[in-house]
Amino acid sequence: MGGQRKRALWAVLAVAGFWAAAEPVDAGREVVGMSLEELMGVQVTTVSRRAEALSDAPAAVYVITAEDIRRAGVTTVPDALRLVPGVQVARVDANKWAVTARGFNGRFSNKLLVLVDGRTVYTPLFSGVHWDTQDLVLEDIDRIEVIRGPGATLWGANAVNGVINILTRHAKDTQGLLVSMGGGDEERGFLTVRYGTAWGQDRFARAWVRAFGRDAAVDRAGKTGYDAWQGVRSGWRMDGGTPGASTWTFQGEGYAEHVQSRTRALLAPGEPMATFDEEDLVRGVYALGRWRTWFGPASDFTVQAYYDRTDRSSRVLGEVREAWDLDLQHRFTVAGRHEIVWGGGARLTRDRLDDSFAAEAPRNRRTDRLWSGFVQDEVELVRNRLRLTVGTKVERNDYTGTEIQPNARILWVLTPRHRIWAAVSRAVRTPSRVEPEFRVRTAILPPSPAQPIPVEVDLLGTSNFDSEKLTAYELGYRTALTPELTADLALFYHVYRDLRTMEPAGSPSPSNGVLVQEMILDNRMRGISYGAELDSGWRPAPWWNLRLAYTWTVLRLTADESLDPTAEAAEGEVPRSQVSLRSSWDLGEDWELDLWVRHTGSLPSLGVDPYTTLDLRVGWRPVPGLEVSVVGQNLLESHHPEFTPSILSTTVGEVERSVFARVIWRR
Amino acid sequence: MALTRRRFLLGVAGGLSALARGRAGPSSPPTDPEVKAAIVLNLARFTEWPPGTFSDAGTPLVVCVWGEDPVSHALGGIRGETAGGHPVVLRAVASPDRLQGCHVAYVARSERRHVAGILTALRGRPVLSVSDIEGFAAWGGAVSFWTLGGRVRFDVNPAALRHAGLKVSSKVLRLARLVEEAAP
Repeated sequence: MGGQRKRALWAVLAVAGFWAAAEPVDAGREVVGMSLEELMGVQVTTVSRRAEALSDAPAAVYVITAEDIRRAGVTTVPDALRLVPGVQVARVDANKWAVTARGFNGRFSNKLLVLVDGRTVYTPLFSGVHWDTQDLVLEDIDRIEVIRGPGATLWGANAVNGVINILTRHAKDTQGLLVSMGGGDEERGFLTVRYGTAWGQDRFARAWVRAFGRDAAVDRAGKTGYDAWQGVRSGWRMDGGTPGASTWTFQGEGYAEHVQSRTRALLAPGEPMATFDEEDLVRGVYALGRWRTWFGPASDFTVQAYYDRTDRSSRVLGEVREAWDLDLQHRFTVAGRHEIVWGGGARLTRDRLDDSFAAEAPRNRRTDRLWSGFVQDEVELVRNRLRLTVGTKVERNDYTGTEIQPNARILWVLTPRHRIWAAVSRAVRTPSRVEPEFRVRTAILPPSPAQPIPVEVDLLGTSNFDSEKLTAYELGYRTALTPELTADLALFYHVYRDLRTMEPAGSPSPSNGVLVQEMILDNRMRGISYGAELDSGWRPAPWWNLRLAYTWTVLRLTADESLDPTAEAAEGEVPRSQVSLRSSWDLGEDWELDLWVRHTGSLPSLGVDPYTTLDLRVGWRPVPGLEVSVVGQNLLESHHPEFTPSILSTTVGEVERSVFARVIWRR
Repeated sequence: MALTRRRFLLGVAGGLSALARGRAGPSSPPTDPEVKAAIVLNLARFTEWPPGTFSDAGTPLVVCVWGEDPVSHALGGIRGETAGGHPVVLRAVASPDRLQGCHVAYVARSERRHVAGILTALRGRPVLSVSDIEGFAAWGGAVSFWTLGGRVRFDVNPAALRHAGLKVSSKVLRLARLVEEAAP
């Protein structure tokens, strides 16, 4: 296996070297001399609107483009998020990820809002995201907008430390046939078939099917674990109308996956902790419709509705959830200076849980309602120079009642090349379904000479558990020193209040032959975090792109009023520094070579050492419409751990060195 | 493995130095803004302004550029070309009172908040308004761009051309998607 990989690498390098040394092919840019018909036939390289979107936003925004995803050689959404400064991505095992922004990471990190085409995909059960169900067709992603820091005013609760907004392509941009297939040692095999068509001059549609199988990860000793997964999904998207008049979108998808897990849990009274393997079936469907109509150039109204159903089997906690969501938004301008956006939404979510001794729910069915309204005014104080944005979101949920999340942001265009922004905002993380009422039997401490009877530790939810609150202060600077050299720096200072702690309730009491120590959820921790996030791009030559992302994060927690010994552990669950450096070369007309080096600092609380990885991609486009690529991931080590799960403990699956090949054919 | 890693880095360094010697320099395909700028030139060539707009053949055709975006930068590439015998000149405009003398007005995306005011200022003037702002033609602009499958397409609003007193060749109209004005 090792020899094979080595040979593959050498082949890749030989090819790359050859093409690097090859004579350039010079085709002049005769665009200006072309006729209209010729111009309309030219396949253009789409220029990302990243720079524009970035320079306009008074927030820490990063846009991952379709080209970034393609050239990074990633196969999953969480891996694509590793490109973004300020975002922490760690793989727990082959099918589970811990993703957050600005700290507080975990498999169920609960301070991040994730949306796919306007649909919220975190589960209210834990307020976390099951990343395994977000196995999207990457070729159809138009861009992923990542906002670090509170984005609650426009997006709502859970947008505390960040918002990840995944946007798929308009159906007009996915016309014709696409077949993407490949495989390797970890990515065992994948196949996507998509077809796009059009009716009339402004109605477009696409439909797709995707199937994949992924290998299990290994444990510290290199032994294969039980976390392989495979799945299939199929969906469609239709778009129509004329921008400026009215447009509509109708899309949906269904999926089914078999996901393996090795879990350690307390399954029955009086028994020790058991480690067991299970293959869970995860299924889901959703459908979303959106209609937008314009009243004028800067005035429009959007209505969006969706239905989403997920069904996840699990011995510890199975979940069937349905959500109905309606959102309205109206944008208009007043006196040419105020751009006002206001709207509201309602969400109804209904679940049916299949609980267990390890995670016991007092009621297995629950329906929750969420009402929200927001208003935001963007005032141009000095035309094209100084812009102030103020707004607030008011939300009413069934757990903590009304929550108000305001923000104020200012953008100052010093010169078109230098921009400064600053923001103050408040956001809350509302309780998840588990926190107000569950009993989670987390561990059983074996007998010791000091404590001859085993002690079971139970986490008890309480309806007194309140929202966690954040006030964030941010400052940013963006520059394009030259069109080839850009930098985007964001500094943040976050002040957290009422963070979750677990307080011992009385002393251990006997039950089922063990002593039970109950711990009740409370909000007795405060904290601050601060840091810097830098994204810098340099284009030394038209065929060479470099991109550097650097993140520095410090978290300081204070749980003086708490008896929770683990509360402050989150301080050591975020790497102090992270670096990502990516280089993309275009070699000759149809070869591409991409190199991506990443370094992530240690996670002392989890016993995870710092690691450095290297990904390499070679792409070849022999004829228009055909792309062949070979990607090597995590090449520097045979395997390394990135995270250790805490609650609902599953075994660690280390990230392995891997290679896969992919062929994409379009016509 | 260490050996492999070292060889690997050596290989990468080799590739880099080959690049640094400048022996690879592929020409990139035309970019979206370049094609759009060239289309602006073609549109100017196939547009007929009201009689008396140009005093003689040598009078320049003035392309006014409002604001900034990638296309506004790419428009630099058509400076000095000719349209109907008139040399093309570019002029940056910032306010409606500078519109006098413009034949084509390109409204950049930086101006999207001010589109309503700009369209009002343009109303009734013999100016071919073009923009890369989505929906521009539907709101009363003459031409706006969009892309389909990596190729540039454009919308034309015939009513806007009529109000401006411009005649655009049917050859161009056949290639365009014709839109009606959304708002009265």
